[in-house]
Amino acid sequence: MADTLTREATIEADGLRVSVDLAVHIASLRYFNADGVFAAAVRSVVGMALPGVLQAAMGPASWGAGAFTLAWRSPTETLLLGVDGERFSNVVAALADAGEGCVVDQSGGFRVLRVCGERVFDLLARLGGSASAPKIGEGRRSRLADVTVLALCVRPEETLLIVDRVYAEHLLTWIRETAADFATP
Amino acid sequence: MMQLNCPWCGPRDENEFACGGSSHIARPGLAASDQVWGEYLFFRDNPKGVHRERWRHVQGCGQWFNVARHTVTHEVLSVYAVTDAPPKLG
Amino acid sequence: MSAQRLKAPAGAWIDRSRRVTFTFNGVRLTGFQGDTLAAALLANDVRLVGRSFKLHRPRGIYSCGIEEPTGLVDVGRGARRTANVRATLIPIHENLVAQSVNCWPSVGWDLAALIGGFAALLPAGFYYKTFKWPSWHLFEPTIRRMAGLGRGSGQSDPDRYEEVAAETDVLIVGGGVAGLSAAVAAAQAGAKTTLLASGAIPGGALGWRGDVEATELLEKARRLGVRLHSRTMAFGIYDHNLVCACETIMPDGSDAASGGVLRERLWKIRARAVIAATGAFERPMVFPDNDRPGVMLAGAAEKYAHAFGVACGQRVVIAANSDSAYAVAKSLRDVGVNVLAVVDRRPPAMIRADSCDGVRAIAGAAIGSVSGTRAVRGCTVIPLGGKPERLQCDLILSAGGHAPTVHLHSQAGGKLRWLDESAMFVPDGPAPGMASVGACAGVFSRGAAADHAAEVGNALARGLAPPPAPIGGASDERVRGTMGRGVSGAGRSLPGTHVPGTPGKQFVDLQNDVTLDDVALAARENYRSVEHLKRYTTTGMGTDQGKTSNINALVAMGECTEREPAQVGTTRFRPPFSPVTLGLIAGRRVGALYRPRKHLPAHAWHEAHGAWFEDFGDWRRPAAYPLAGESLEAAAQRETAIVRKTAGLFDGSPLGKLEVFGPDAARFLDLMYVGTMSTLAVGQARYGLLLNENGTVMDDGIVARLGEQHYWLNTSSAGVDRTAASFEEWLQCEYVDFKVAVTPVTSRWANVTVAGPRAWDWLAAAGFDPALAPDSMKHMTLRESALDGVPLRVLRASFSGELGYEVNLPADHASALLERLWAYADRYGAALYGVEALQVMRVEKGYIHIGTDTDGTTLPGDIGFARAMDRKAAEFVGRRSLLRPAATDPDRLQLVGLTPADGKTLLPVGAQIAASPPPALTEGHVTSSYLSPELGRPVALAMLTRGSQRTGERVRVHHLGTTIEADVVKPPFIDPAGKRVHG
Repeated sequence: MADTLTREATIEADGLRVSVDLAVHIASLRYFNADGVFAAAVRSVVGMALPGVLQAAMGPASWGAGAFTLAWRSPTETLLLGVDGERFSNVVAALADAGEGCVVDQSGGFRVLRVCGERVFDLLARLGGSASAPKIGEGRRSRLADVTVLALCVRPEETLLIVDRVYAEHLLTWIRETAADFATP
Repeated sequence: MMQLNCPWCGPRDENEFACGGSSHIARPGLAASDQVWGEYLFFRDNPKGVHRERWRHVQGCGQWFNVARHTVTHEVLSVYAVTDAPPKLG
Repeated sequence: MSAQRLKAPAGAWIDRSRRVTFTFNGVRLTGFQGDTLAAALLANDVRLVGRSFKLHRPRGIYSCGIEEPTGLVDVGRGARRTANVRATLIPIHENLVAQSVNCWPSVGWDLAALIGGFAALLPAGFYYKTFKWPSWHLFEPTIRRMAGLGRGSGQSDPDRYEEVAAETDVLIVGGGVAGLSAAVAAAQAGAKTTLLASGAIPGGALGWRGDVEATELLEKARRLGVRLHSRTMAFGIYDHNLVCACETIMPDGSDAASGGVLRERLWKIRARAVIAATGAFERPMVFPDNDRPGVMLAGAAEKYAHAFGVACGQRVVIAANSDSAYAVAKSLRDVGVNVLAVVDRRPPAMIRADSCDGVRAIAGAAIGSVSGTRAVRGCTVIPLGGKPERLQCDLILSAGGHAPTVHLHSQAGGKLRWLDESAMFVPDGPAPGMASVGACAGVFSRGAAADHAAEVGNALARGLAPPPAPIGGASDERVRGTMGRGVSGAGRSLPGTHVPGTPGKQFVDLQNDVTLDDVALAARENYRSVEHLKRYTTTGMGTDQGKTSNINALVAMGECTEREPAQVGTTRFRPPFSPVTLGLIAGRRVGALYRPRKHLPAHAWHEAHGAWFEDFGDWRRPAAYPLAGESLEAAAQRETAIVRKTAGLFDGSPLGKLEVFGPDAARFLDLMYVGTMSTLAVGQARYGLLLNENGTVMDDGIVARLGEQHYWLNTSSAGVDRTAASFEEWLQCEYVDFKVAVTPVTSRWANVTVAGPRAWDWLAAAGFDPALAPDSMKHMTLRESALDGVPLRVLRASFSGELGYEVNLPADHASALLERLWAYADRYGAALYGVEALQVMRVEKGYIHIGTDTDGTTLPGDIGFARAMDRKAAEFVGRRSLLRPAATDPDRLQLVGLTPADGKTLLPVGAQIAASPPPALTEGHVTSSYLSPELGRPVALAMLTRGSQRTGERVRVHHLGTTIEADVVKPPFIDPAGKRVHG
């Protein structure tokens, strides 16, 4: 039985729709060398290379709806996201034996907000700085609403905001208030 | 609010970072005298000019890096790796 | 009748077909849509608007813009009442309510005006000399009540403010001809260009002179894609070209819909290059009684006439120190106003021959006196070497010269130089990252300004150095031929606008009542520096920030001290350029968003079960679960008793959790902790302290081993971010070859803690694996387990001093587990317990709380960890500091327990321990203190000098004038052998 947020989890405004996705599994892939043994294991198990600096990628295409997203978080960390629970568990188990790195399951520790609409950029400009908005294929960790958020974009028309779970309420409240004023020119 | 060029994440506002004070301070061993240890803990140069200092991109990649910054104009003369020796600045 | 509305076509900005009714000081008046409050008041011949700050002299509208020093009013009603707003900036709307400030009972009959009679007692700096005997505090309340101008609403601001970040290549501040020319040129050169204009319609003076060029430039700018922001005033430039600007969405005094509106927007714009096109302020002339209602700036009167169709007076005298006076004279005559004379301070040689053109000019003359107190009735003109002449007038205008608006340039680190010819400070070259164009660069001729601005816009767009401004005496001759209608070149002005030796109050700062005598007094008392002049006399410290006073003040100081204006210099320019609201700075950070709060995964569950939430650091946590009518303290006592008697359930999710992995994890932890972690067996846990390099205790927590290269760390809930950051610093900066990954997992894992003698029975009933039972799982061990497929990490540990299990599980399942356990609570008479109860229990057991019982000086030995440290051969962070003489000083403060001698009195936290009441040398202080339900008496922890040697001693605890006797005891207060935990 999953915990639920205490409030309505979808925010809608002119040109903007924000919803909370509770079904995303997340893991931190930690490694000591982005080109080493662990990276090779990821490529073999997940079917994708570790993304480069500030990059995010979705795939492999062959997995369809069960595709994963990999997002660069630091020189020694990549986030793995997926909605297919079984696939996710298999990947985590398979990487447990990979050397020179480890997998830390973070499911439930982050909240994933899906943000769509033409005014995504306006929203991000009101939460953070001008470097916070990711272009497609990018994942940018920055200060939004005074908390740390990874914003990533692997599909056109959709930006994901990944925030530490304990700050989700704070971020959502800020977004809600901002969206409420979107009607003002 | 300065804008710092994180070597990984690019230019970001200062409030995403934490400053770690002067760089290139060698940590003395246990055999150091009280005076040497005290200087390591508490004594720092305070130049009116170029200062080499460490910053951490706390709300980004979490990495430490070095910055050579002019303390009066805030001009950033160099950004370099935390393990690098300080570059020569004319 | 003197001030009045002019006939059309005067009034480019008003819509004569739309009448607007508003109220001023309870009187209903009308104006036209497009009027500012100031314009509408003048149109209604309302000349007395307020009272000055110190002397309560009558004041009126002085200017037509943001530099307004005296036309301040309170606008709005109820929660929207806004104090000290400049009437020159408020657009009137239907039912606007405004009133005068700093007067009682009314602006017309102000009781405090009697102060004027005591003006001699109130010179600059009076509060250092008078009102001191027998004690300043006698007078202080009255003086404080009289200070200030308007009155705030006293209610919460119902409106909202937001913050937007943007970036651009070239940012232009100012929407006049220079700014627009620069913007067009920059955009044409391909730069992403943004322009900020503070007015509603960009165009500057050209806009209300009906000049076509402004409209053309605007259209061109729009077509080229320049981002134009109107009603947006740049108020500061900060490091690395960050410009902050305030966009006014809802003007002051508006009666917006209830529920609040978005009122202002803070723009934070990072620009590669900035161009300041901020214009110039007009300098007032200084003469006796130059503060009377009816004395105004010349340019303002012109603007009121043409933009608002308001004549500020019918019979006008212009006191002049600048050629602009003649342009204004002509402009006013064009709308039918009678200009009696221009009283020009300058000698004939400085006055341009072609200026006068039918206006009577009296050269080398000054105003000697003004008659009329609530409104100007006339003045006396004193020509040099001639007879005084009395003129009957109702408006005296100041054309004292101009002061380029160099604030942004100076904030950006730009230098200034004094132009002797035109008596003004101008930018001395560009500032880093910013160039100035137009009047703010000293270029007053329209053609030259536009050309230069275009060159600058083009150059900065292409990353080249901006060409210098064409200013100085020579260039004025050069550009004379290209002067446009109405806009004059800077011409020549005298530095000082007053005649030395003239008797009477000659005001330099109109808002703060600072006169030339005050400046002279400051000079005599050796407050000669311009910064001292400012603070001692308060000139320039009002809400107008000296926009119409700073130059006159520093020039006057120069004359008193035989220095040139350049030698006196200007005070440091700091943001904001014009006042900004606190709301704008706060933005969304109000109420629940004031600071980011952390919420428990099971917050809703706790709420549903009667939790009383409080803020503990960043976390919102249940302090207790009071029953109906129970106080917080009583609830904590009840909960504590139940936990010690049977069992309790606690949400420990905020406890910090870190996963540390890697081949070097073990030796890394040995370096970080006091306490050897490398010798832990898998599944074993150990308490450790974290020090900083100074040896100070920074955090504590339990470290458990999950695998050969894998550790599970608990830290304090407040310390986890700091501890994780410290680990990263050591790994990235010092131990760079170590292979260790530190991953914070505080939010991934919730912590459900069950504590008490029946704790295991309860868990077993709920289905927990028997392998976790106390007889098979020792205290201080960690086991991985599962419950219905949900993975668990169960740590047998205790902060309460009772048998305790900390069940870590994925946060999504926290509520479910709480619910599941709660279903069995009745069977054991168990209770939920909160942070308060936990604090009671840990104090009963003598367990410290970092930051409560320890501070920035506390070393491990002070809290009983000296022995543990001695066993270690290896080095760890802070070790070297523990070998210093101060660390081994026997007089150090050490942790002790205290009980009150009378068995009843709760020792106040923070109370000092000393041999006698203060003043006395302190021997320590009380750090934690609670009533122990088990013992039925108060218990406390304290830091006491040589504490470990003083067990059994009676000490005195002092608090706010009382003294409590207490006995020093060795903690813990209950279960010293720890049987309840270890079995």
